[in-house]
Formats: sequence, C-alpha cells, structure tokens
Amino acid sequence: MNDIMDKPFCACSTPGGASGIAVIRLSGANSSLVADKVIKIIRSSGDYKSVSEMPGYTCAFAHVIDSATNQDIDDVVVTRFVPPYSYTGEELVEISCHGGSCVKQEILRVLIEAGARVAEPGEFTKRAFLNGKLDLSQAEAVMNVIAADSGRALKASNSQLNGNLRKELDESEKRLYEALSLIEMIVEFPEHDDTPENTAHVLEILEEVRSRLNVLANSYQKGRVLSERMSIALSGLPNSGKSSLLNALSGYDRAIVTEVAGTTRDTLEVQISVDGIPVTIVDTAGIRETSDRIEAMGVERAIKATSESDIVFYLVAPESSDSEIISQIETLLNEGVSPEIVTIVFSKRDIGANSGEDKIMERCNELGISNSIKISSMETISINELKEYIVSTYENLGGNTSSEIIIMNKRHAQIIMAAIEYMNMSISAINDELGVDIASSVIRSALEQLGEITGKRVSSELVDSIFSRFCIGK
Amino acid sequence: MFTIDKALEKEYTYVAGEFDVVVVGAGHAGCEAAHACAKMGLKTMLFTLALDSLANLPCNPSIGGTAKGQLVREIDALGGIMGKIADECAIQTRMLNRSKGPAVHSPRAQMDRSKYSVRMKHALENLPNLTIKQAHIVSVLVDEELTADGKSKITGVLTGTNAIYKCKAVVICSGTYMEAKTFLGEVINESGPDGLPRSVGLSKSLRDLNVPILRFKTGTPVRVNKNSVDFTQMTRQDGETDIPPFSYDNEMNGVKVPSEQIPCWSVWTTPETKQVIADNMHRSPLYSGVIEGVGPRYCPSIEDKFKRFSDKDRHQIFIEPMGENTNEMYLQGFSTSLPEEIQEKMVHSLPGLSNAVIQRNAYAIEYDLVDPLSLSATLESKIVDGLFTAGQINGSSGYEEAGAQGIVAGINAALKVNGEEALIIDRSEGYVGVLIDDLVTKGTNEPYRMMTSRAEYRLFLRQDNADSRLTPLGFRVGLIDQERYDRFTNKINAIEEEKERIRKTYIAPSDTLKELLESVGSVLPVSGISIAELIKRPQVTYKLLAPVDKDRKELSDDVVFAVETDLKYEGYLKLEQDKIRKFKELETKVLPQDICYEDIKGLRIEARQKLDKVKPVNVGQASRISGVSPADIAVLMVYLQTIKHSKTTEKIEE
Repeated sequence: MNDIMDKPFCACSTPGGASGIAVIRLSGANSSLVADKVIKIIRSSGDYKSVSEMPGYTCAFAHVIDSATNQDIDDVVVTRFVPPYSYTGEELVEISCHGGSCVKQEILRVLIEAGARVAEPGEFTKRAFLNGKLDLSQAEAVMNVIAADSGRALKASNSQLNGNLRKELDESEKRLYEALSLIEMIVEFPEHDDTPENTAHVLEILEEVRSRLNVLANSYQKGRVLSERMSIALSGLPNSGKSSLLNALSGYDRAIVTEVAGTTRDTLEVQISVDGIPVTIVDTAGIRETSDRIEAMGVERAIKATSESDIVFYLVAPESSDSEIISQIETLLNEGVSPEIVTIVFSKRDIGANSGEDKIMERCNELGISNSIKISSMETISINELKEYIVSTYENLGGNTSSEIIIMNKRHAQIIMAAIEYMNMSISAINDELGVDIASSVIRSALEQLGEITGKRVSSELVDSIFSRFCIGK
Repeated sequence: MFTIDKALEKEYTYVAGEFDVVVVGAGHAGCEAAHACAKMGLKTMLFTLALDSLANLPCNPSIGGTAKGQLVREIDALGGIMGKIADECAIQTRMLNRSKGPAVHSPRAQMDRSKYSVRMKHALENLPNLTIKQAHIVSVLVDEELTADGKSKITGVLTGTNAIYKCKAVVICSGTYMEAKTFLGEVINESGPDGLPRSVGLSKSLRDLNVPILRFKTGTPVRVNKNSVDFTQMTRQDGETDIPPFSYDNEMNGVKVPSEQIPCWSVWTTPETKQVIADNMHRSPLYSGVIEGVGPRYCPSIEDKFKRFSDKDRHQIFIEPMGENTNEMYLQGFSTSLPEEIQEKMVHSLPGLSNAVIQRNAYAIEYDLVDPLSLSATLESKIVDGLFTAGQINGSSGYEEAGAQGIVAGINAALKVNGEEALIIDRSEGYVGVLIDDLVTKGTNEPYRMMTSRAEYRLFLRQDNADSRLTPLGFRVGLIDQERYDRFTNKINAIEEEKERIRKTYIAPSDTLKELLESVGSVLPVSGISIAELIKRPQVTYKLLAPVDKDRKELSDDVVFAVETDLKYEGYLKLEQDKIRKFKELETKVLPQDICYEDIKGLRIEARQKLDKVKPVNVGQASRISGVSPADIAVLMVYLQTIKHSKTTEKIEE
C-alpha cells in the first residue's frame, strides 16, 4: 500500500563538503539486500561475498560498484547492524567511504538505483524514536549533539541524551502528582475528619517545584549560548586594533591587519571555542562618520551587531582622542547597547598608554560601564585575561546556577517557562482562596506542559516539527 | 446459536410478546434505561426479579456525593428520572465541598429507602409505552444468521417460566445478581443482595456468545436499630436547606429541599475494634481465599482498611438513617464479610453502639459482569448486535454510576431501533462521558467508582451547569419536552444577559462601595470599575455588590450562581476551554475500524494487542488505552498520514 515508505532510505550522515572520509547510512527492512546489488566484499580467496551474508556487527572491506557499467566507484568499509540493536532499531548498513562530494553523490545514486530512497530530514532519528530507541527529549538532544561543536555544548547535550533532563522533570512531575493527590483527598473525602483541611503542604510542594523549574529555565541563558554560541562584538574607532585582537583570540590571521584606518569595511565573524564555550567574535567596522556609502552601511550593521551581542569589547588605542572615544561610546549606548555588557579594552599597550584613560573611565562609570582591561594583542598574558573574562561572563549567565542540566533547546525553555507560569497561577489560586479545584486544574496544565518535553504527551504537530528540524541523514 | 426456534423446541415454551426494547433488571440502571426508551416512544418491557425491590438501595441510603452528585444532575439534565425521585425522597440534604471551589461542589441527599423504591415503581408504572413484569430472564436469544460484520444479533429473551419475548434490542442491567454469592464469614449463600433471588443462566448465555465475563465482589455494612444507639457519644451532622434540589426541572419550578431534616452521626473506631478484627482476620472469606472476585479500592471493607492502612489506628464511621418510617440505621464505612458473631463484637466496640441491636448483618457479595472493554461508547456490545449493558454489569459501583450508564444505554438502544445516529457524550461534556469512556477504553479491574479527579475538565463539568452541557442533547433525542426546554433556554438567556449587563455596568468609587469592599478585605478602586471586574476579586460576591448595583433585576439563585461562577473563574475557564479544544482535535482524528494493528511496524507488541482489543474509534481514545504509549500514538499518527498520503497518490495515479 505504501511501498515508497517501506523502501530502505539512505543519506550521508557526515557533514557536507569535502572531508577525509564520510559515512553513508542505509536503514530499513532489506537494507542489506539493496546493498548487495552495489557492494562487493572481497574475500582473501579473491572471490566476492554479499553484505546480507555478513553477521551483524561486523565490518568488511568492499568495493562499491555501479552495476550498470560495472565500474568501481570507491573502496569502502561496510558495517552491518541487525534489528533491534541499531541506531534506528531497524536493519542498518553503514558505508564508510572516501569523503569527496562526487564519491558520496555517486554512492547515493547507485543505492537509489538499487531500490533505496533518499531519507527525509531527520528520518534516522525519527525512526529511532518511533522504534522506541529514544524518547523525545533524547531525540532532540541528538540534534544538539550534531550541532554542537564545542566541548561544553557536547557535555550538555550528552547529559540530556542520557535522560538527565528527563529525570529532573520526572521528579517535578512526581511532586506535582503528590500535590494533586493531596488536593484530591481534600475534595473526595470531605466529611472525613482526618482529611487534611489546610493546603499548607500543597503550597510547599508547589513552591518547591516552581524553584526547581526556575533553575532549569535560567540554565537556558547558558544553554542558548551553547547551542547558538556566545557573541562578542569588537567595537572601537578605526584602527583601534580590533582585527589584531580578533586574530590573537582566534589564533590565526583571519582579518587583514593593516595600518590604514577603515580596512574592515563590513562585519567579520570568526567562530572559536574559548575553554569549551562556543563563541562568535564579530569584528565590526570601525564606527565613524563616513561619506563612503558602502562603508556607511557597514557602520550601520556594526551598530546592530554590537547591540545584539552578549559581550562588547570596546577598544581604545593609545593615540585616540578621549573626547572622540567618549562621544562614540555615548552613541553606542544611545543605539541600544546595554552598558553592563561593555568592557573597555585599552589596546596596543606595547606602544603606550592613552593619556585620557582616567577621563574615559570616569565618564564610562557615569554611564554604567565599569569593566576595563589593558592589553597588548601581541602578549598572550593579557589575551588570556580576556578569555577568562569571557568564561566568567558565561558562568554568570542565568545566575550562578548549580544546575547540572543545561537547557539548550528553545522549545524546552519555552515549555518550562509556560509551566512556571502555571505554577504561579496555582500558587496564587491557593493564596487567594479561589478554591483547590482551580489550583488542581492549573497544576494539570503544568503537568501537560512538562509532558511535552518528556514525550509523555504527544501531539501530531510536535512530532513533525521536531523531526523536520533535523538535517538529512541524522 | 440459541435462537427463538431452538428455544421453542423445548416443551411448553411459548412466545409471550414482542417489544422494541427489553430491559433486564430494574435497579438504577434498568429504571433509567426503561424510562428513556419509553419516553422516546418505544414499546418497552422492564423485567425485575423482585417488583417490591425495584430501584432498591441495598447499600448506603443516600444518593449523590462527590462526583456522584454531578452524575445525578447530569442524568436529570438529559431528561432522566433519578434526580426527581431522589428529590421526593430526601430526608437530609447537603452540598459537599462548598468551601473548595465550585467545580467540586457536590450535592448529596439521604434517602428514605423504601419510599424511593415505591415512588420509582409507581412513576414507571404510570409511564406510557412501558410494561413492568416480575420474571427471571435465563437467556438472551439470537438470530440464526450473523450480521454482515460477523456478529450475533439479538432477537429476544427467554424467562425461567418458558416465555419468549421477542425484541430488537436488550439492555441488561443485572447489577450484582448474575450468579451471585454472598459471604458472611464461613456462611456462603447462592443469593442476590438483601436475600433476594439471584440471576442464574443469563451469564452463561452471554458467555456462549463469546462475551467476556469477569467476576467482582463488593460488600455492605450492618444496620442497627436506632433505639439501641446512644447518640450522646456521637458527633451530630445536620443537613443544609439552602441548596438546590437534584432536578433542574424542580429547581426551575421553585421546588425546595425539605425544611425538616434528619441528622446523621459520626464516630471513630476504637483500639478494641482493631483488635477484634486482627484476632479474626483468618475468618474473613476475603483473606482465606474463598472470594475470587476483585473488590473496590475506594469502598473497602473495614478489615481491608485496617490491613491496608496498618499505620492508622482508627477509621471514621458514619451512622445514617434509612428512612422516616424505620428505625434502621446504616453504618457507613463499616462493611465487612467477617462472621455474624464477630460483627456483633465489632459493632459493640464502637462508641455509642455498645448495646446496639443489629437488624441486618453485613455481607460481601460476588457476581459476574461483562468486561467493559468489549463495549463501544454507546454501551452496545462489540460482539453481539443489539445487546446493551449498563450499571454494575459493566464493572462500575454505585447507584449514580449505574443510572448514568442506564440512561445512555437506553437512549442508544432506542436510537438504534429507530435507525438514528448514536448519542456519545465525550469527556469534555460530562462525567457521564468520562465514566463510559474510562470503562470502555481502559477497562477496570475493580468496581469503578466515579471521582472528580477522573475528569480532566472538571472546572467546566460542574453540578450547576449540567443543564447547559446536556439538556440540548436530551431535547434532541426527545427526552426533554418543549416546555422544559423553553424554561431552560430562558434560564440560559437570563444568565447571558446578566453577564453582559454587569460587564457594562461601571460604578464610581463611593463611600458605600468602600465600606462594602473593606468588609471583605478588598480595597476601593481609584476609578470607575465594572461590576464584572469587581466580582473577579477574591471574596467579592455578586450579592455583596447589591447596594451599589441599582439596575439589578430580581434573579433566581441558579442564575446568580452561574453568573458569578462564569465571571469569577473566567480566566481559568478559558484555559480549560483551550484544553478542551485540543482534546477535541484528537477526538476527530478517526481511526478506521478495519485497521490491522498487527501490520503497523513500530507499534510495540503490547500496544498492538491492546489496540486490537479495544478498536478505538479515534486517536484520542487510542491515547487513553493503558499500555499504549505516546510513542505508539506518534507511530499511529505517522501511519494515518501515510495511508492518507498513499490514498491521495493513488487518486493522482488513477
């Protein structure tokens, strides 16, 4: 009836672009039979063997062959998985091939000609979920693992993948059910004198759960950085040393460093990892009045990037005029940059100090900017100081949460926020003596919210939306 | 196949009559079912084993209570009879949970037990289209041919006196009578409740048609003579007279609950009670393994309570009057199956009951029932066409649960005979819907008791608005007459008009308003405010604001209550309405009845088996089956999409 959906599906599971090697996955019933048509395993005796003859969980060296022309496409290593112990819970064949885009395309082409179909986005993980291999929060974490390119993000994703978030939410759910059952006792057995009349204990539980959820919700401020990166804007007058700092932080010459002011015409981004924290450094165009139309657009973008970042390093070169610096900082703050995120960086200290440093900082303090640091881009010591500053800024995101679990997923954060809102409502329903029936109705809403993360409650839109966010082949 | 022809082969068997619907059993389910069918114009026969015990209250002498009171109101809103008879026979009335929010307000009334039976019998006897007859139904009869979908089809019933009654549908409401056994310590009797004859044979005839049969047990406490009770050692519990009657019809006609009421009493068990029970536990048929049936968790026997809650040293017992013309008092919470001799000791260990004379012993009763998983939401069997069941035969406990199923089974039997579309009340429309959906979707492994916590949308399923939820349905099927329906619509309009009026009526801050608000700990607003907004404040009531609300018309209590509740809880009700909308979405995702769950890859084995057994009609119902996980539901939804997808593709290819 639905033979299209019954076909094994394949995709490249490693990132696009050229690489040393790549992995192509083929999953679904009869995957090995499809693979047999294009893969020849070479035996030491010189004759061939098929994939379907391989025992599960073994690897073999093989040729991928275009059966139409009988030509070799690539030399590969094939691994066979048999149900139910595979990533998807189905029969699965993994082909480790060479990483050129052309090779990958060719292998996928012959697999499709042999009867496979192209995987839908996120289909491997969707199958794993549907076959009971992962719960929803684990499935979502897989996506974060794939996207994670720094140590801390990987750790947070892994902790979620192992169900730590689920365990934490299970505990909150357990407590909420406890509160509900207390309320039900009050309601169902009203005449019994040993029925608890007061709701003090219920209130206690609700407040405890609310604070648990608050810890989780706050952790998203860290989690957002881990999944979406922390952004640091380098700002300052032209030739204040922004590009040199960028290069020093990223460790290689990305920006062109010249002596001519206005070299960086547009924002330039570099992605680095600072002590495991994924950071995007935005080197903004120097902010100055300009008649050059293209440069003016760059200035505009620079202001936007600055105001949207988590940290702003405002660089001050020794030779700059203090009044010009002050007026530019004022401009930035007027454009919406919040003073708490700004740190004044006195750069090029190897050349000399700015004579107006005290004056600048005095004005900055008035404006609410209290951080300053003196660096020379050539010196590793002061660069390390900046890196430490970045780490401590990250650590302080969302309050100094002791939470092991870091919410990295925006949907999770939104759901937890909604659950907290219901907790607030239930607490005020009890405090205002609106009736325990109202409180219990709202507690149930909170539970339904949490169920959306743990997968105890599933709506069709949810399943589709989660899996459509995966890229093909995961 | 036990057909009419086959039955006629036996000597002296004859055809005694022909009816549209035959109702077997005249307890609370049977009376509602027969009442509904007759009112809907069908030629109806109601059989009972004992005419003098029609609508018997063999256990507690009360109707209503938490969740149960809501059910009685719903039965009445649909056009049923229980609420009206209960209003006539009330000797004490209360509104439970008054201080705990409107959603859990639950009316309850103590009944004059024998009066209830007499009044119900008389009301039904006077009903056109209905015949009531004392007879023992020993078998259902079916057609020789199976229906198109392979089911047996009901054609009649056979009595113990060799009479065949032909019919198009049967509603069996056998209560605890099918193959019943009572237990009093070591003494076992093949008997129904209250020493009445039991039903023999009917259960086997259902089993022969492959209807799955289960066995449950329940019990009832002792009755004592009030002249032998010392009430000075007890806590008195009086009724309340400022509450509405059960019946909306009575309420709209200004009928009040009785002004003279009889009190109830309560005591606690003593250490001696606990000791007597502990010493004699081995003589309980429940613990010695004689009783096979499963008992109710929510209405346990006193020995069960001591055993299960061993940390508790005492339990509360309520002493309730059985009527105006009897001295019998009922000991609520003291049901037991321990021997008679031990019952004497147990009762005498209670304060005020040391000299109590026991008039009726407590006993446990075991009975056959139908596995409700074999029913559809109309309460028709999925195995036998035209066979409906309602009440304890479906695994429930309680008069109100029985009555609620009775009216739904009766309505659907009548609709089926008339070839009309079935009536299914869903979980967002009434406790009736929750009750039936729970039974037919989740099944039950103990007598099922209705509780407010079983309802997901209880802010909306209130005792005060059952009419707005269900009376239009009752009118549609013909149980509510035009006159009553007009009164109902007038009431609804009055509520809406008044809500609208006080939303638009703004009052300026004044000394009077200040005084009023401060009297309940609220503060004067700085500028003009609508009455509706003021009512939303905690402690502020509609009544309180009367002195500042000049244009207020005289409105009845029920209208005022509805206006106040709708406004005060508006925000929360809206949240619940949103949930109901989401719930309805899954309820409208139809599952084809010919789905082969065995073929759906990705469903866990347990889920496949459960889905195959219940054959849910929509995804919502499937999601409530125990053993079907959300991941299974996700698989089902993906599956539904793919068949929809492949159907569209097929069309395109054509």
